[in-house]
Amino acid sequence: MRSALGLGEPAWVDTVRKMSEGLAGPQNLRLALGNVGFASDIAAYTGLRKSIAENLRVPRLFGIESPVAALLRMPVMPFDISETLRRYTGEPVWEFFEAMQEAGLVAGRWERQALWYLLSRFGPYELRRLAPLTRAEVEAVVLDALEAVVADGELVPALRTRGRAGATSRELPPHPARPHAVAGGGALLRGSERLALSRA
Amino acid sequence: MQAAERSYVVASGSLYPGLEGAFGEVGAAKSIITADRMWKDKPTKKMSFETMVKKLGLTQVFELFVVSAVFGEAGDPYRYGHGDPEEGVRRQVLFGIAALAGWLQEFAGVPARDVLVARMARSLPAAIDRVRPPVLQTDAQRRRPPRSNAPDTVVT
Repeated sequence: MRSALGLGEPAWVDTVRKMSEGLAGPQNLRLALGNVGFASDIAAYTGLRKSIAENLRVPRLFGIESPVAALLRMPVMPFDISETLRRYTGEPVWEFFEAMQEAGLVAGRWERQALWYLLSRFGPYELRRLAPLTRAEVEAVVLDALEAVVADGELVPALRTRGRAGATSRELPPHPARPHAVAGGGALLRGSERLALSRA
Repeated sequence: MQAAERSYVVASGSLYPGLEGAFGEVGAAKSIITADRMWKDKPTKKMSFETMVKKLGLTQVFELFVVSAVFGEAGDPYRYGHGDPEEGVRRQVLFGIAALAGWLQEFAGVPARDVLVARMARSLPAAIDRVRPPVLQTDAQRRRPPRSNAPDTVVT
């Protein structure tokens, strides 16, 4: 594929081709990039709880499993057993469980909303801080944090550089009349030019 | 760069066509639309941006963000240049940058969204304090004994 400006094939086309061929769907791509954020924390939480249950070494009475071990193996706790956990696991792990429970509440409130795209990558300690906030306040916090990152003067130039490097195989000098159009890389410029052509 | 300088109205003028074009390029590369944004099997009919995005096979959460937070009803006024020039345009440009980071992560192999959110996480405590300032206790409040649940009535 050649772009409207006659540039060579951009790197991301290869990603699209692989996705089309079923070699690297978005999930695989994400796995390759490293699984970070809330999903991995949930996995760690589940795994941790399972390993605690396995290591409790509570004797089986008449072949019946300890109720605590059975509870810990459950994916969702049926009631609050924080005190039991605190007794068995110690303060730091108990705090982690507590953070996970509060983060789970925030997740339940937001996981079907558009903003979950950003919130889902926060860890449990960040998510639990959002628990007491209203919906409007959470959106305001997200926008405030986004603005702080965008305005810090590092991210936007990095997006320009990495985007351009990732999206074009040949360097495209920024157009003097509209340098901002290159912000997201060659594909953005190419895309907007193509869009402009199609609207003309 | 205009977004970094908080010139959101100027930034929205280039961000929207850029994003639209970037997703459109993927749509064309995946043969969902023609190069001039028409349906592949009906070359005279234009495919709406949102329909095209839904056919790209993005993760559900990214698709929802692009279609309903950046574009769609929320984004159309800004896409066509007649949205609220204050808070609304700020919201849309910032969300647009998040979508751009998602596009780079999804299609250019650059972990831009991960970096963006990691940095947001660092800014989160200050952002929460700005949105809901912590209540500062006065010395008198600190010295006051905790309230009991009993009603504040004096029985004579």
